[in-house]
Amino acid sequence: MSHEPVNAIRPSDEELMDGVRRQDPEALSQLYDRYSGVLKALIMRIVHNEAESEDLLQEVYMDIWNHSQNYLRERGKALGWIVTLTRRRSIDRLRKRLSYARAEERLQHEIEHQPGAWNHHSADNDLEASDMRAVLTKIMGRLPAAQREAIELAYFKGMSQREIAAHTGIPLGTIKTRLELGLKKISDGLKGLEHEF
Amino acid sequence: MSFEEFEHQARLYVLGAIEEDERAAFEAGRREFGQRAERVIEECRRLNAAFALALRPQPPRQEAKARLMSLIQKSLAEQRATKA
Repeated sequence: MSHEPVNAIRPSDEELMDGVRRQDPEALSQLYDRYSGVLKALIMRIVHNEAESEDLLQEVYMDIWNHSQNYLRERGKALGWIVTLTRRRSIDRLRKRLSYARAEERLQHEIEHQPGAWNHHSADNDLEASDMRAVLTKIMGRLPAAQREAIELAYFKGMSQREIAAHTGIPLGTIKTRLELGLKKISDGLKGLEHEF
Repeated sequence: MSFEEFEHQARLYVLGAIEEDERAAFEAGRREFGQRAERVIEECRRLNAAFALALRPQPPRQEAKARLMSLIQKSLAEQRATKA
């Protein structure tokens, strides 16, 4: 087995995962530089707590380091695996936390009183936004509020369709339709960006 | 289950929003559609990543990375010590 460190100018995420599997700290360091900001944003959106977010971020990267063999290239891109791992860990934490109810209240407040998570900043005005993020933000931002809410509850709170229906007081059939339409729109909107992530 | 229905179920599956009573039908569809189904699931996994990438990045504090890399070095040292 090769033990050469990852030193290409811009290795792919999958190449970096190969490096992590060889226990090359430089590979993990590059993955950290590449995605820690996005992952922390995702964790923050789920747990709503700064200190806890940084703890969870560290746990996620330790998981990547310790369980990189669980990532299989043939099952898809590395980022999908990393994001899934991050979401699962964050939602587990949210569910276990004693202050779950308060976080729920805050999330509910955000959903009711602020635009959705994906359009609280305008991509057009965000000079720091990458082109891809701008496109993604626009896709999410174009969804009707009801569809976006259903998707946000599934994505950020890990709710099943029945849980979303119970949480919102909206019939299960309506929730199913909202998720179906919303996810289809996003999926269609992402076509053409397949090679970006 | 039609392939279109399977595609929708795959999106829910990847999000973790699929209901337990829908899971058996989804798994049956997965077997029935074979490689085509796996390609759809892989595409759906991109949804997961896309949702995260659409958020505004929040860079962690600089010391967070230093702490992580220190833990990694410690873990490597322990592994080497165990092997030695």
